Amino acid sequence: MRRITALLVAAGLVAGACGGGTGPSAQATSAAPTTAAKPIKLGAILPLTGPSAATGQDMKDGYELAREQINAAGGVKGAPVEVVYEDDKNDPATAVGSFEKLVNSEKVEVLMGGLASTITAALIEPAKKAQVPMAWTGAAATTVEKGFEGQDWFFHYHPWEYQNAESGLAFLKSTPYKKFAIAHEDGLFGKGGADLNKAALPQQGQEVVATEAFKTGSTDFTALLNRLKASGAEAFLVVPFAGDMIPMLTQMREIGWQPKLIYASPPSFPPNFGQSPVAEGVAGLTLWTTDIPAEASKKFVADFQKKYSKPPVSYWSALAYTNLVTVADALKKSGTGNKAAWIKAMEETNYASPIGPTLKFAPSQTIKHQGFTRLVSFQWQGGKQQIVFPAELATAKLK
Amino acid sequence: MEALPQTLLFGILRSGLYALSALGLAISLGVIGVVNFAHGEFVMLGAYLGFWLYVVLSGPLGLGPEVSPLVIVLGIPLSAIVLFALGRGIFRFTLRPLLGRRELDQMLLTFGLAILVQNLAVIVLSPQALDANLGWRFELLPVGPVSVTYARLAAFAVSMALVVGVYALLARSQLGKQMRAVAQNRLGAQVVGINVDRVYEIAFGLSLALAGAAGVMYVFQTQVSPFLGLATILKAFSIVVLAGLGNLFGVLWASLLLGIAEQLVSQYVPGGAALRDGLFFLIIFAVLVVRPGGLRRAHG
Repeated sequence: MRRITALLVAAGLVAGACGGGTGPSAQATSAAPTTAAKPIKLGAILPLTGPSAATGQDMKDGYELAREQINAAGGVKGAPVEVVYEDDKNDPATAVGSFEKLVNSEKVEVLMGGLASTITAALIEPAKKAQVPMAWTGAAATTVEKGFEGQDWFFHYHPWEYQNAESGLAFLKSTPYKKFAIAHEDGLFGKGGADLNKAALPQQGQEVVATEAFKTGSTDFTALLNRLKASGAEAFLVVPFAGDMIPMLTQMREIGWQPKLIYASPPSFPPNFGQSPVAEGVAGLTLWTTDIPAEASKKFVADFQKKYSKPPVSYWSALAYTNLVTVADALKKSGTGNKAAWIKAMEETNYASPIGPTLKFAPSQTIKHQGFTRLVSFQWQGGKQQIVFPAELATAKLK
Repeated sequence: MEALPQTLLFGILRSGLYALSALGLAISLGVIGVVNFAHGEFVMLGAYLGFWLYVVLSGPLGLGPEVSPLVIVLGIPLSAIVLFALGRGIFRFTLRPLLGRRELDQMLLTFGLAILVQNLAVIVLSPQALDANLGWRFELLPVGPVSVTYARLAAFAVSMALVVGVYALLARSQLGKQMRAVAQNRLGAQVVGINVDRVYEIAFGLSLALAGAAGVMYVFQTQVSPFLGLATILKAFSIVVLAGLGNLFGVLWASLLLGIAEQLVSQYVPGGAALRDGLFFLIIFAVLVVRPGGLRRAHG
């Protein structure tokens, strides 16, 4: 039995260290409609398996919707658009392999996609070497931004982390609350978000009275919540993953803690979160919601619903859609195989995007071509994400 | 210290599901001598069955979020039966041929099974995590100074009932006695005419049935996803080690001890909420170093 014990513990540790295990290599090449013109090949690197797979799939749905519409409208100068999807499995080494494949074997015109900062960071050096045009949706870390400094072929859509933080802090400043408690998952994502708020809140006259870290997926947060409750905080900031949301909010009720504001910033909310009885009143930060009062957004949501018989899971589908539409629009102007002309065409982008603001590329703190710069704050009200900040986009008042 | 009664209460209530998840693992280890690394994946499959039942009952059958008791009453037998049959099949076609071989071979088999089942779930069921809007996840019952969800109470009550039921089965029934006999001495059991292979097969089926039942209760606790298994198996392993490998009756006490210890650490140790998973490993190491037999009495 002792030998079993030793093997058991060793293997248990290995299992723990490995995390979720490896997913299958999912790679799909979308079929292009049969036309005489040679299809224009674009590449997209997405996490289609692993922990971020749901978001990756949402992005793919956005790309496919855009591709279908572009090709139905005649493609790019008569040539159909084809997207080669590569699964990065949320793993930097896999992503580098995907990158090399798309650039060297598939010889794609433009590289799109991207979600996690760690993945994009691994692509900085290969990208600088290859100098292939990139229209990149994801990555928010400033280290990634620094990596692409001075590269005029790099177009970035998602706001950088300091822009995220500024958006959230501006909202918090607009609330009447002075005492904040923070809980965050103990990984890089949660700790990064919590540290930022901890440093910035006092500078705008708001105090952090308690901070607690937790393991994501713990399913029991009662003790931690008890301590935060005892701190006397008026508002509660939480940086969790999606799965922590419902257990945590339910357990706040179990211990009878009702802060005046709950501000949550998971990478995405659980599907159907709005229908959950604990969702009411929870506020958060997002790039986009399905209820954004912009015409392009309403059309996108309707088209998406029609094609997939379900609403978009997150803002990533709208971002991916915007990504492909703008890349194709620029190609219509520049033609293929002309990088300088494509860059110039991208610089002239002026697109009333589903995200809400009109998309234009302008210099950020570090890079030349930054797209979106601001996120909106929303609150779950009656099962819907109502935008409560900034005032000019608000669809409801903060309750 | 005013939080103490509440801390203990939540710790005790949590231990029920821990015991149910660990008991199946202890049976496959104690009776057959197989360390089943795929145990957590069968909990995950049970959770999907429970979730599927919730979707059918609340959606097409139009019963809404009020289906909580039905999901338990129908879901547990359903999941237990399906997993029991699956367990027997897996045993007959994969494990039995390996029984005479080294323990490492069996471990590698179950480890591979775990990866296979998890990835099949990702492919077939999608990696998207799902939340069940079951009424009992949210409805509160006042217990002293705090309120407790019906889900929490139900998880404890159902788990305890099943654990005690299995203990009674092992202690009283003919089959239970056969299982214990096989566990104690395989050759001896064979000599007195027990069909050892059949007992093993049923024991493995029972082990998976318990995993399936636990899975249904997880639908009330957390998100259902293909990655649910890993979170449950690490705790189940700690409990089995603490109980003493293969000591079925120690599982209950070990679960209680871990459930409460985890809650105390979260409440009273600074930064404890992030350390609670580490606590399980700490306990494994401490037990193996100080008392390799676990809670079992020294002569056991």
